[in-house]
Amino acid sequence: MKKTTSKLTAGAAGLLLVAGIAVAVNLIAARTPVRADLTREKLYTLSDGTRKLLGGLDRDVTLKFYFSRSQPGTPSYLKQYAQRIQDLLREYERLGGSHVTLELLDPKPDSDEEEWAQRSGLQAQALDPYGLAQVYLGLHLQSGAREQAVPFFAPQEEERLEYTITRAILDITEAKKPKVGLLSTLPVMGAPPMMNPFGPRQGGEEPWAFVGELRNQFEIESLSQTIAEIPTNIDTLVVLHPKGLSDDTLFALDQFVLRGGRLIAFVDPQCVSDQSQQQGMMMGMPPGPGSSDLNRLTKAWGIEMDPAMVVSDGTAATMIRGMGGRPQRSTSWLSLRGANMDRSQLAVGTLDFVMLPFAGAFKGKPADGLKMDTLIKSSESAAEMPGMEATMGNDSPFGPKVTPAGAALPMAIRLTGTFKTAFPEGKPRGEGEPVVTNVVALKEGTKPGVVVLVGDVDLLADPFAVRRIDLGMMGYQAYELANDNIVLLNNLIEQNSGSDILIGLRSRGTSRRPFDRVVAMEEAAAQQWRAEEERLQEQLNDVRTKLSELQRTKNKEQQLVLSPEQRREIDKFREQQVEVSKRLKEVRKNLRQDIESLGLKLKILNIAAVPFAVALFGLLLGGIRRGRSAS
Amino acid sequence: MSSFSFVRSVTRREWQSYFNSPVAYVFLVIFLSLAGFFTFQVRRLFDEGQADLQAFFTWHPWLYLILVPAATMRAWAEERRSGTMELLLTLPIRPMHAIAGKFLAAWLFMGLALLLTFPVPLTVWYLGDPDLGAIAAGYVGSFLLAGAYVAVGQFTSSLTRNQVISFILAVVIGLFLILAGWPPVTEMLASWAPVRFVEAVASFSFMYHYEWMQRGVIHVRDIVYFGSIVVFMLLATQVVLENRKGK
Repeated sequence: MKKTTSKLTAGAAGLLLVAGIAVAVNLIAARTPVRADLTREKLYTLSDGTRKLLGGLDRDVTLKFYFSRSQPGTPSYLKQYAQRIQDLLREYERLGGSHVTLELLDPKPDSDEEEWAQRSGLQAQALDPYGLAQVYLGLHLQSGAREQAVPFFAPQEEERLEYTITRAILDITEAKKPKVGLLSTLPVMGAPPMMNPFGPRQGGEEPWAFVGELRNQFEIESLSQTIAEIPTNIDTLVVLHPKGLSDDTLFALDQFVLRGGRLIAFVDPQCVSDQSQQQGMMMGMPPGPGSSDLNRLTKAWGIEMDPAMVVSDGTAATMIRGMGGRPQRSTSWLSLRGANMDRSQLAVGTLDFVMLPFAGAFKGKPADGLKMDTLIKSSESAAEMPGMEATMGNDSPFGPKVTPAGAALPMAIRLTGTFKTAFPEGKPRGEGEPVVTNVVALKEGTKPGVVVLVGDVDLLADPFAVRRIDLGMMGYQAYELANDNIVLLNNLIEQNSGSDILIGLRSRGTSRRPFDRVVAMEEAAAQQWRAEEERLQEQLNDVRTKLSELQRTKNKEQQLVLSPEQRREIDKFREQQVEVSKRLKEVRKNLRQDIESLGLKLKILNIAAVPFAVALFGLLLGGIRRGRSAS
Repeated sequence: MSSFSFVRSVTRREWQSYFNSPVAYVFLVIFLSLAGFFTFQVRRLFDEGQADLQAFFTWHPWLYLILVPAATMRAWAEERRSGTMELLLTLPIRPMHAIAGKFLAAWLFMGLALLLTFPVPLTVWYLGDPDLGAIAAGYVGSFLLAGAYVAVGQFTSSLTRNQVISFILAVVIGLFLILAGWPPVTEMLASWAPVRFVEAVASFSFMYHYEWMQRGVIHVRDIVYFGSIVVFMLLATQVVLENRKGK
């Protein structure tokens, strides 16, 4: 007896030991972040940029994630999206170590959490047309005295999810507002009112609308056109319409890029916003090119733009007011949409509509050590045509034909990598100037630089980027964005300023995977239905008109009494009307039928097919065995 | 003969015995039709319109909870009842060989059941463009989960000669291991317990360690967890059997 109980206790003790070891091993394993993200889009793995940011945090960040998970009626795709956001935030918390704290809140109606959510700037979305049921899906970030909120995570923006969160963390933990330099030959910063001692004061010019937009996020420092050296405290520089820049200034830009700066340059073969041309014309001088280019620099990097040619693309044509005020279709006044943008690039991935009046194309191959991304391009049927002709309105469909280049023409590109200088001789010297030997001119990039080239300047001008809204209060005017032009500028600066953390952040994939086949069936059915519906609708209209005609004739001739034929006609037409409406309803019902029957077939297949096969197999096997044992 | 071949022969014997009786077929038919039913009828996979198998994998813990104990309850109870237990244990093999062999046979059988669910991923692949990596991870997770349930079932089966008791015990243990991490339970706990405690309790549960694999990410800690459950349960089975040897 004793032997068996001691064996039991030995066994039990052994088990306890094993349990203890198991728990210990599990605890260790829980701390080891070794995992395999098998999802196609690596949905649950944060990018290097974010890791770097989180690893280098020196202050605490509190993330408050608000999601109305207990709200009934929340669509399941929203719940799944919320789960994905929560998982991603957990990763942020994990990688942020002790600096990042994540709180999950459910703002139930009339609860404290709901009040906090509203105060934090979160916006709920209504689930029904009356706004009774609302769902919150937002994030509030706070670090020290600074805070920011993502009011609502729209599922359409899923690809920007990591970028949105990382950007927000960067904004509240960064020491200062990123400074952006602005070098422009056009009066974008506005002009002070001119003093006229003899008469009424002439009004000054307002800065261009985009400057105000940028000032929301960045500190803008305007640089002189003749600057010879870009200040070291500027990491991001926007250059607008670099017409007639001196070699010294171009050299400054070159060195800026080589020291790791981010250059965003807008050049234009045909800049209509260049007033100096118009002023020149008014004074009787022949119109000169209002064009600008940076070929002096970009040639060294493998890229060039022909300043005399603009892109003509039939698929992006816009109706504009041509010569003499007539509306005209211009193929060089480009209205660019999703198909023209590289969806994988953050700066343009979410843009819907960008308008480029007379843009140039960039040609060439990036030099060694550089990588080129095309952000915006034309369709493949586009071609180049002389800029002057384009403005004269010679690009109507009946105008001179242009031969397509056969490939899409890039109009906005981004170069990254190690740049080589465009001034191998060093700092340019004027005639008679002594050689300056103690100036260190960089021959090659000391840090990876970024150069964004956009082939149009007019897109940022007020007439083409915004719509003025007259509020009527003492002439105060507000504006609204007419398209995504300024958003493009904002994105470009956002993506290329601050730190390299955001530069490498690619747009992540989406977790939504619709049933393509079913969607295609729905579209095909909808098309079919539309054709049928149009036909039936026409029939219906015919019947109705005939009916009303009959009524009218009746009223004209015989005020009160209907002839029996007429009555019969009316009845017949009424019947027809009912028939046609019924047919319409049937067509609508039928179009779902294909889809429903597919669903049913698949359901049966999945529930019954294999079990049936297994049962059959088993019965057969059983039958064979029984037969064998019987004989 | 090496340990490996001992184990292998036990496995083969067990496997064949599965298919010699109606048990295997009944189990497969029920498992597959229930899985299909829950996925397509209850969770309406087709109508939801998303080409992923979350609606499918989410049922596995619950299906296993009921069906696996039913399949494993006879593992040792049967031997004990029919008297072949002694025979088995006196063969020149160690008890652990027999235990491992039976476990493997049952686990592989579950693997077969999972394989036979192939129409489901085939359906979403036909309808759309599913994330195959995530689906693969889901199957891996389900297979590991099944292994854990099987190990629990083996253990409870060794405790008694009554199959019904074995079944009930296995379901109860399984229920504990699921509920510890089930959102409604964790939320209830969270209302009065500190977060650390709730998380610690949840980390003992099947759900906690199955969740990520459903979504497509395989964590080492989840593999270690399921492995620990299996090892612990098999060792526990050994202790039980060795102490019952006399009886």
